[in-house]
Amino acid sequence: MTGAGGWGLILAMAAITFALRASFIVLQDRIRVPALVRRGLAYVPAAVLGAIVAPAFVQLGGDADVVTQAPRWAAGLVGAAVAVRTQNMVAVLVAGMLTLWGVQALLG
Amino acid sequence: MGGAPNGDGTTFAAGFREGMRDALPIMLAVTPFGLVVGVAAVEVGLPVAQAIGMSYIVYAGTAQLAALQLIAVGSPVAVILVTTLLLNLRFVLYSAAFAPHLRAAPGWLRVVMAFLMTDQSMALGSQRYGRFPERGAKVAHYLGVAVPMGVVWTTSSTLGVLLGAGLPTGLSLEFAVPLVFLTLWVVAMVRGTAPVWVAGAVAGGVAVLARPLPFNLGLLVAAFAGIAAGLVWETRRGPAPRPSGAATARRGPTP
Repeated sequence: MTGAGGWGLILAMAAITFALRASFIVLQDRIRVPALVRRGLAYVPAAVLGAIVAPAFVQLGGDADVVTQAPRWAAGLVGAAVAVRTQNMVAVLVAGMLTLWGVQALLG
Repeated sequence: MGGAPNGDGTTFAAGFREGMRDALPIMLAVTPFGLVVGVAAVEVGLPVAQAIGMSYIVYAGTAQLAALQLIAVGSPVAVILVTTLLLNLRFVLYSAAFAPHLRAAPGWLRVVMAFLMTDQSMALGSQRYGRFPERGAKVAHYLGVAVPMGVVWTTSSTLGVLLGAGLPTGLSLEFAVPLVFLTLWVVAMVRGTAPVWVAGAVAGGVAVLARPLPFNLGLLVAAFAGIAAGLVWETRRGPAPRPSGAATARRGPTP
Protein backbone atom coordinates (compact mmCIF):
# COMPACT_ATOMS: atom_id res chain seq x y z
CA MET A 1 0.00 0.00 0.00
CA THR A 2 2.73 2.44 -0.96
CA GLY A 3 3.75 4.42 -4.01
CA ALA A 4 1.17 5.06 -6.74
CA GLY A 5 -1.32 2.60 -5.21
CA GLY A 6 -1.24 4.54 -1.97
CA TRP A 7 -1.93 7.84 -3.75
CA GLY A 8 -4.77 6.21 -5.67
CA LEU A 9 -6.38 5.06 -2.44
CA ILE A 10 -5.98 8.49 -0.84
CA LEU A 11 -7.50 10.25 -3.86
CA ALA A 12 -10.42 7.81 -3.98
CA MET A 13 -11.08 8.32 -0.26
CA ALA A 14 -10.95 12.07 -0.82
CA ALA A 15 -13.38 11.94 -3.75
CA ILE A 16 -15.92 9.89 -1.77
CA THR A 17 -15.64 12.14 1.26
CA PHE A 18 -15.96 15.35 -0.75
CA ALA A 19 -19.01 14.08 -2.67
CA LEU A 20 -20.79 13.37 0.63
CA ARG A 21 -19.89 16.77 2.08
CA ALA A 22 -20.83 18.68 -1.04
CA SER A 23 -24.12 16.87 -1.71
CA PHE A 24 -26.63 19.38 -0.35
CA ILE A 25 -24.43 22.44 0.16
CA VAL A 26 -23.34 22.61 -3.47
CA LEU A 27 -26.39 21.16 -5.21
CA GLN A 28 -29.10 22.47 -2.91
CA ASP A 29 -31.02 24.31 -5.59
CA ARG A 30 -31.38 21.08 -7.57
CA ILE A 31 -32.42 18.81 -4.70
CA ARG A 32 -35.95 18.89 -3.31
CA VAL A 33 -36.05 18.03 0.37
CA PRO A 34 -39.22 16.25 1.57
CA ALA A 35 -41.01 17.82 4.54
CA LEU A 36 -40.32 14.86 6.83
CA VAL A 37 -36.58 15.10 6.15
CA ARG A 38 -36.68 18.84 6.84
CA ARG A 39 -38.33 18.22 10.23
CA GLY A 40 -35.84 15.46 10.98
CA LEU A 41 -32.90 17.81 10.44
CA ALA A 42 -33.73 19.54 13.74
CA TYR A 43 -32.64 16.35 15.50
CA VAL A 44 -29.46 15.66 13.51
CA PRO A 45 -26.96 17.39 15.84
CA ALA A 46 -28.21 15.88 19.13
CA ALA A 47 -28.63 12.42 17.56
CA VAL A 48 -25.29 12.29 15.75
CA LEU A 49 -23.42 13.72 18.73
CA GLY A 50 -25.08 11.17 21.05
CA ALA A 51 -24.14 8.36 18.65
CA ILE A 52 -20.51 9.54 18.59
CA VAL A 53 -20.22 10.23 22.32
CA ALA A 54 -21.92 7.36 24.16
CA PRO A 55 -19.80 4.46 22.80
CA ALA A 56 -16.62 6.40 23.58
CA PHE A 57 -17.51 6.29 27.27
CA VAL A 58 -19.59 3.13 27.67
CA GLN A 59 -18.47 -0.10 26.03
CA LEU A 60 -20.45 -3.28 26.61
CA GLY A 61 -19.34 -6.76 25.66
CA GLY A 62 -16.30 -8.98 25.79
CA ASP A 63 -13.54 -6.40 25.85
CA ALA A 64 -15.13 -4.35 28.64
CA ASP A 65 -13.25 -4.92 31.88
CA VAL A 66 -13.69 -2.59 34.82
CA VAL A 67 -10.07 -1.50 35.26
CA THR A 68 -9.83 -0.08 31.74
CA GLN A 69 -13.44 1.15 31.70
CA ALA A 70 -13.75 2.82 35.11
CA PRO A 71 -11.57 5.86 34.32
CA ARG A 72 -13.67 6.56 31.20
CA TRP A 73 -16.94 6.19 33.09
CA ALA A 74 -15.75 8.50 35.84
CA ALA A 75 -14.41 11.06 33.38
CA GLY A 76 -17.66 10.87 31.41
CA LEU A 77 -19.85 11.39 34.46
CA VAL A 78 -17.76 14.26 35.81
CA GLY A 79 -17.49 15.79 32.34
CA ALA A 80 -21.26 15.55 31.77
CA ALA A 81 -22.00 17.12 35.16
CA VAL A 82 -19.60 20.00 34.49
CA ALA A 83 -21.05 20.41 30.99
CA VAL A 84 -24.61 20.67 32.32
CA ARG A 85 -23.58 23.23 34.94
CA THR A 86 -21.15 25.40 32.96
CA GLN A 87 -21.68 24.60 29.25
CA ASN A 88 -17.98 25.49 29.07
CA MET A 89 -15.73 23.28 26.97
CA VAL A 90 -12.44 24.21 28.64
CA ALA A 91 -13.92 23.44 32.07
CA VAL A 92 -15.14 20.05 30.80
CA LEU A 93 -11.76 19.24 29.26
CA VAL A 94 -9.87 20.09 32.46
CA ALA A 95 -12.30 18.27 34.77
CA GLY A 96 -12.56 15.24 32.48
CA MET A 97 -8.82 14.78 31.92
CA LEU A 98 -8.01 15.28 35.63
CA THR A 99 -10.66 12.70 36.55
CA LEU A 100 -9.33 10.25 33.96
CA TRP A 101 -5.75 10.59 35.21
CA GLY A 102 -6.85 10.45 38.87
CA VAL A 103 -8.85 7.24 38.49
CA GLN A 104 -6.15 5.68 36.30
CA ALA A 105 -3.60 6.41 39.06
CA LEU A 106 -5.91 5.01 41.77
CA LEU A 107 -6.40 1.76 39.85
CA GLY A 108 -2.66 1.50 39.25
CA MET B 1 -11.86 40.81 2.16
CA GLY B 2 -12.83 40.92 -1.52
CA GLY B 3 -14.45 37.49 -1.25
CA ALA B 4 -16.75 38.50 1.59
CA PRO B 5 -19.97 36.78 0.60
CA ASN B 6 -22.24 39.48 1.96
CA GLY B 7 -20.20 42.35 0.58
CA ASP B 8 -19.80 43.80 4.08
CA GLY B 9 -16.24 43.45 5.31
CA THR B 10 -16.95 44.50 8.91
CA THR B 11 -19.76 42.02 9.43
CA PHE B 12 -17.75 39.28 7.78
CA ALA B 13 -14.70 39.92 9.97
CA ALA B 14 -16.83 39.99 13.12
CA GLY B 15 -18.54 36.72 12.26
CA PHE B 16 -15.23 35.11 11.33
CA ARG B 17 -13.65 36.21 14.63
CA GLU B 18 -16.60 34.91 16.62
CA GLY B 19 -16.29 31.55 14.84
CA MET B 20 -12.58 31.41 15.69
CA ARG B 21 -13.31 32.19 19.33
CA ASP B 22 -15.96 29.46 19.46
CA ALA B 23 -13.59 26.95 17.87
CA LEU B 24 -10.59 27.68 20.09
CA PRO B 25 -11.22 25.00 22.76
CA ILE B 26 -12.05 22.49 20.03
CA MET B 27 -8.78 23.21 18.27
CA LEU B 28 -6.90 22.37 21.48
CA ALA B 29 -8.81 19.10 21.71
CA VAL B 30 -8.30 18.17 18.06
CA THR B 31 -4.51 18.53 18.31
CA PRO B 32 -3.92 15.17 20.07
CA PHE B 33 -6.25 13.45 17.59
CA GLY B 34 -4.25 14.88 14.69
CA LEU B 35 -1.00 13.75 16.29
CA VAL B 36 -2.40 10.23 16.77
CA VAL B 37 -3.48 9.97 13.12
CA GLY B 38 -0.07 11.21 11.95
CA VAL B 39 1.77 8.68 14.10
CA ALA B 40 -0.56 5.89 12.95
CA ALA B 41 0.08 6.73 9.29
CA VAL B 42 3.83 6.35 9.76
CA GLU B 43 3.42 3.17 11.78
CA VAL B 44 1.48 1.35 9.05
CA GLY B 45 4.29 2.21 6.66
CA LEU B 46 2.88 4.97 4.48
CA PRO B 47 5.64 7.09 2.90
CA VAL B 48 5.96 10.48 4.59
CA ALA B 49 4.43 12.39 1.64
CA GLN B 50 1.34 10.18 1.62
CA ALA B 51 1.04 10.16 5.40
CA ILE B 52 0.99 13.96 5.39
CA GLY B 53 -0.97 14.32 2.13
CA MET B 54 -3.83 12.19 3.43
CA SER B 55 -4.70 14.76 6.09
CA TYR B 56 -4.76 17.56 3.51
CA ILE B 57 -6.70 15.76 0.78
CA VAL B 58 -9.09 13.45 2.64
CA TYR B 59 -9.40 15.67 5.74
CA ALA B 60 -11.59 13.29 7.76
CA GLY B 61 -9.89 12.05 10.92
CA THR B 62 -12.15 9.15 11.84
CA ALA B 63 -12.11 7.74 8.31
CA GLN B 64 -8.34 8.23 8.06
CA LEU B 65 -7.73 6.38 11.30
CA ALA B 66 -10.04 3.56 10.21
CA ALA B 67 -8.33 3.32 6.81
CA LEU B 68 -4.92 3.15 8.45
CA GLN B 69 -6.08 0.32 10.70
CA LEU B 70 -7.45 -1.54 7.66
CA ILE B 71 -4.19 -1.02 5.74
CA ALA B 72 -2.33 -2.43 8.75
CA VAL B 73 -4.31 -5.68 8.60
CA GLY B 74 -3.98 -5.92 4.82
CA SER B 75 -7.59 -5.15 3.83
CA PRO B 76 -8.44 -4.88 0.13
CA VAL B 77 -8.89 -1.38 -1.29
CA ALA B 78 -12.63 -1.96 -1.84
CA VAL B 79 -13.17 -2.59 1.88
CA ILE B 80 -11.28 0.58 2.77
CA LEU B 81 -13.34 2.65 0.35
CA VAL B 82 -16.68 1.23 1.52
CA THR B 83 -15.61 1.92 5.11
CA THR B 84 -14.77 5.50 4.14
CA LEU B 85 -18.19 5.86 2.54
CA LEU B 86 -20.02 4.50 5.58
CA LEU B 87 -18.02 6.43 8.15
CA ASN B 88 -18.55 9.68 6.27
CA LEU B 89 -22.22 9.19 5.33
CA ARG B 90 -23.03 11.48 8.25
CA PHE B 91 -21.66 14.36 6.17
CA VAL B 92 -24.75 14.06 3.93
CA LEU B 93 -26.88 14.78 7.00
CA TYR B 94 -24.69 17.76 7.94
CA SER B 95 -24.71 18.99 4.35
CA ALA B 96 -28.51 18.94 4.30
CA ALA B 97 -28.66 20.68 7.67
CA PHE B 98 -26.17 23.39 6.66
CA ALA B 99 -27.43 24.04 3.14
CA PRO B 100 -30.24 26.49 3.99
CA HIS B 101 -27.90 28.52 6.24
CA LEU B 102 -25.07 28.84 3.74
CA ARG B 103 -27.17 29.87 0.76
CA ALA B 104 -25.69 33.38 0.81
CA ALA B 105 -22.33 32.12 -0.45
CA PRO B 106 -21.40 31.92 -4.15
CA GLY B 107 -20.89 28.50 -5.72
CA TRP B 108 -17.10 28.37 -5.46
CA LEU B 109 -17.22 29.27 -1.78
CA ARG B 110 -19.83 26.57 -1.14
CA VAL B 111 -17.38 24.07 -2.65
CA VAL B 112 -14.67 25.31 -0.25
CA MET B 113 -17.06 25.20 2.71
CA ALA B 114 -18.16 21.67 1.79
CA PHE B 115 -14.54 20.52 1.67
CA LEU B 116 -13.89 22.04 5.11
CA MET B 117 -16.94 20.47 6.77
CA THR B 118 -16.29 18.68 10.07
CA ASP B 119 -18.26 17.25 13.00
CA GLN B 120 -17.12 20.28 14.94
CA SER B 121 -18.45 22.82 12.46
CA MET B 122 -21.81 21.05 12.49
CA ALA B 123 -21.93 21.05 16.27
CA LEU B 124 -20.93 24.71 16.68
CA GLY B 125 -23.15 25.85 13.82
CA SER B 126 -26.18 24.16 15.30
CA GLN B 127 -25.53 26.03 18.56
CA ARG B 128 -24.95 29.42 17.01
CA TYR B 129 -26.98 29.91 13.87
CA GLY B 130 -30.17 30.70 15.75
CA ARG B 131 -28.48 33.92 16.86
CA PHE B 132 -27.57 35.05 13.35
CA PRO B 133 -30.62 36.28 11.51
CA GLU B 134 -28.46 37.33 8.59
CA ARG B 135 -27.06 34.64 6.32
CA GLY B 136 -23.78 36.36 5.52
CA ALA B 137 -22.89 36.20 9.21
CA LYS B 138 -23.49 32.45 9.22
CA VAL B 139 -21.11 32.00 6.28
CA ALA B 140 -18.49 34.11 8.08
CA HIS B 141 -18.95 32.15 11.30
CA TYR B 142 -18.72 28.84 9.42
CA LEU B 143 -15.43 29.86 7.83
CA GLY B 144 -14.17 31.24 11.16
CA VAL B 145 -14.60 27.76 12.62
CA ALA B 146 -13.60 25.75 9.56
CA VAL B 147 -10.44 27.49 8.32
CA PRO B 148 -8.49 27.45 11.62
CA MET B 149 -9.74 23.90 12.19
CA GLY B 150 -8.19 22.87 8.86
CA VAL B 151 -4.92 24.55 9.77
CA VAL B 152 -4.79 22.87 13.19
CA TRP B 153 -5.72 19.46 11.79
CA THR B 154 -3.13 19.46 9.01
CA THR B 155 -0.43 20.94 11.26
CA SER B 156 -0.98 18.51 14.12
CA SER B 157 -1.14 15.43 11.91
CA THR B 158 1.96 16.59 10.02
CA LEU B 159 3.71 16.95 13.38
CA GLY B 160 2.54 13.44 14.26
CA VAL B 161 4.07 12.10 11.04
CA LEU B 162 7.36 13.91 11.64
CA LEU B 163 7.64 13.02 15.32
CA GLY B 164 6.60 9.44 14.60
CA ALA B 165 6.35 7.14 17.55
CA GLY B 166 8.43 9.42 19.78
CA LEU B 167 5.30 10.91 21.41
CA PRO B 168 4.21 10.01 24.94
CA THR B 169 1.27 7.62 24.81
CA GLY B 170 0.66 7.19 28.54
CA LEU B 171 -1.26 10.45 28.98
CA SER B 172 -4.39 9.36 27.05
CA LEU B 173 -4.46 12.81 25.41
CA GLU B 174 -6.63 11.43 22.62
CA PHE B 175 -9.38 11.24 25.25
CA ALA B 176 -9.83 14.99 24.79
CA VAL B 177 -11.78 14.29 21.58
CA PRO B 178 -14.70 12.41 23.19
CA LEU B 179 -14.77 15.03 25.96
CA VAL B 180 -15.28 17.74 23.34
CA PHE B 181 -18.11 15.80 21.74
CA LEU B 182 -19.58 15.16 25.19
CA THR B 183 -19.74 18.91 25.86
CA LEU B 184 -21.35 19.62 22.50
CA TRP B 185 -23.90 16.84 23.03
CA VAL B 186 -24.85 18.05 26.49
CA VAL B 187 -25.15 21.65 25.28
CA ALA B 188 -27.32 20.59 22.32
CA MET B 189 -29.66 18.72 24.66
CA VAL B 190 -29.75 21.31 27.48
CA ARG B 191 -30.61 24.07 25.02
CA GLY B 192 -32.95 21.91 22.94
CA THR B 193 -36.65 21.12 23.18
CA ALA B 194 -38.03 17.86 24.64
CA PRO B 195 -37.90 15.96 21.30
CA VAL B 196 -34.27 17.05 20.86
CA TRP B 197 -33.50 15.57 24.27
CA VAL B 198 -35.25 12.33 23.29
CA ALA B 199 -33.34 12.19 19.99
CA GLY B 200 -29.97 12.64 21.72
CA ALA B 201 -30.67 10.13 24.49
CA VAL B 202 -32.08 7.43 22.19
CA ALA B 203 -29.16 7.82 19.77
CA GLY B 204 -26.68 7.46 22.64
CA GLY B 205 -28.33 4.32 24.00
CA VAL B 206 -28.64 2.67 20.60
CA ALA B 207 -25.02 3.55 19.75
CA VAL B 208 -23.76 1.73 22.85
CA LEU B 209 -25.80 -1.37 21.97
CA ALA B 210 -24.96 -1.23 18.24
CA ARG B 211 -21.22 -0.71 18.66
CA PRO B 212 -20.31 -4.30 17.66
CA LEU B 213 -21.75 -3.72 14.14
CA PRO B 214 -19.01 -3.68 11.48
CA PHE B 215 -17.70 -0.55 9.72
CA ASN B 216 -18.99 1.79 12.42
CA LEU B 217 -22.52 1.15 11.08
CA GLY B 218 -23.67 1.47 14.69
CA LEU B 219 -23.16 5.23 14.45
CA LEU B 220 -25.57 5.58 11.54
CA VAL B 221 -28.12 3.15 12.97
CA ALA B 222 -28.05 5.09 16.25
CA ALA B 223 -28.27 8.49 14.57
CA PHE B 224 -31.31 7.47 12.52
CA ALA B 225 -32.93 5.84 15.57
CA GLY B 226 -32.45 9.11 17.48
CA ILE B 227 -33.85 11.24 14.65
CA ALA B 228 -36.84 8.91 14.31
CA ALA B 229 -37.43 9.03 18.07
CA GLY B 230 -37.37 12.84 17.99
CA LEU B 231 -39.90 12.90 15.14
CA VAL B 232 -42.16 10.37 16.87
CA TRP B 233 -42.03 12.35 20.13
CA GLU B 234 -42.78 15.59 18.30
CA THR B 235 -45.76 13.99 16.52
CA ARG B 236 -47.08 12.30 19.66
CA ARG B 237 -47.36 15.67 21.38
CA GLY B 238 -49.67 16.83 18.63
CA PRO B 239 -48.81 19.15 15.78
CA ALA B 240 -46.19 21.61 16.94
CA PRO B 241 -46.89 25.31 16.39
CA ARG B 242 -44.60 25.44 13.41
CA PRO B 243 -44.59 28.12 10.76
CA SER B 244 -45.22 26.68 7.33
CA GLY B 245 -43.38 27.13 4.07
CA ALA B 246 -40.17 29.08 3.68
CA ALA B 247 -39.63 29.80 7.37
CA THR B 248 -39.49 26.10 8.14
CA ALA B 249 -37.23 25.40 5.20
CA ARG B 250 -34.69 27.89 6.43
CA ARG B 251 -34.66 26.82 10.01
CA GLY B 252 -32.19 23.96 9.58
CA PRO B 253 -30.68 22.30 12.62
CA THR B 254 -31.46 24.99 15.16
CA PRO B 255 -34.34 23.99 17.38
